[in-house]
Amino acid sequence: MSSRAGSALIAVLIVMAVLGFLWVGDWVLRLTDEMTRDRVIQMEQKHRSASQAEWDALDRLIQEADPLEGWQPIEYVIPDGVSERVVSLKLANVNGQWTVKDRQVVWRAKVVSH
Amino acid sequence: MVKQAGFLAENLVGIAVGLGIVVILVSLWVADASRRTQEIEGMIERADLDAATFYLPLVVVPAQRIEVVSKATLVQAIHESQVHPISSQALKLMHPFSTTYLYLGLSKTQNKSALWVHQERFGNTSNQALLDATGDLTLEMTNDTFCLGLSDPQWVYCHHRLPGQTHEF
Repeated sequence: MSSRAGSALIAVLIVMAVLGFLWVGDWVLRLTDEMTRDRVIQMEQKHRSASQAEWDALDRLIQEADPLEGWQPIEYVIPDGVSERVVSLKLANVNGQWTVKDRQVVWRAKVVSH
Repeated sequence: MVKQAGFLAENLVGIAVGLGIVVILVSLWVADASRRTQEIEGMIERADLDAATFYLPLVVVPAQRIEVVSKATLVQAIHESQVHPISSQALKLMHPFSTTYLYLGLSKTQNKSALWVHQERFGNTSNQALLDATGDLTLEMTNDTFCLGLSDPQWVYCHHRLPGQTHEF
């Protein structure tokens, strides 16, 4: 191989290395961004599911509640992704319509084993 | 003599090719660096919005009453704060033992306005800037949902009413 061909080969390798370096850097940036976006979307979906689960739990507890009794304390636990949402409310049937008040929420860490 | 002239020409061509490659690489690097800077700025902005998406449920889910209040009501509530409200409306979240206001504001140490969180709990108050926001704050509320929108950065956070919560607007 002549020295000129060798120089050309080294030049091509340098260009390819720079382009490869830029491409890998770009790919890592996009991958990180995509992972973060997926995580946020998952959290939003979990939050929406937890909201729906709260209404389902309330409907279930209303079925079990006594309409003639006054304000009855109720409590339900909803998993919302990384923790459990413990909700306590007061429920009463006022003029034929179920009413809730005194909403209190605490988050309880969900213990997981690996 | 002829041979020396040939070597000289060959070296000059080599240097010219080398310089050409360097110029191409530098221009590639500059173009990539400016594009990457823009992307990283966008990512930082998105990271702020993601953090806000994670934070807002922590104050919205336990709220007993969610209310849209005027700037005058907000100023009356946070009159001792160093943050000057600039949005015409604010979101008021009432919890069993605390009250939280979300609004666009500007403090003396800030160059850009931000979405501020003012919390009052047992008489103690705290002010935290959640994210930079230079546009408008819009608060749309119905009996079942409320949506908090920012125009710059463009962002909308919506919440569906939960059992025991009331919406006032």
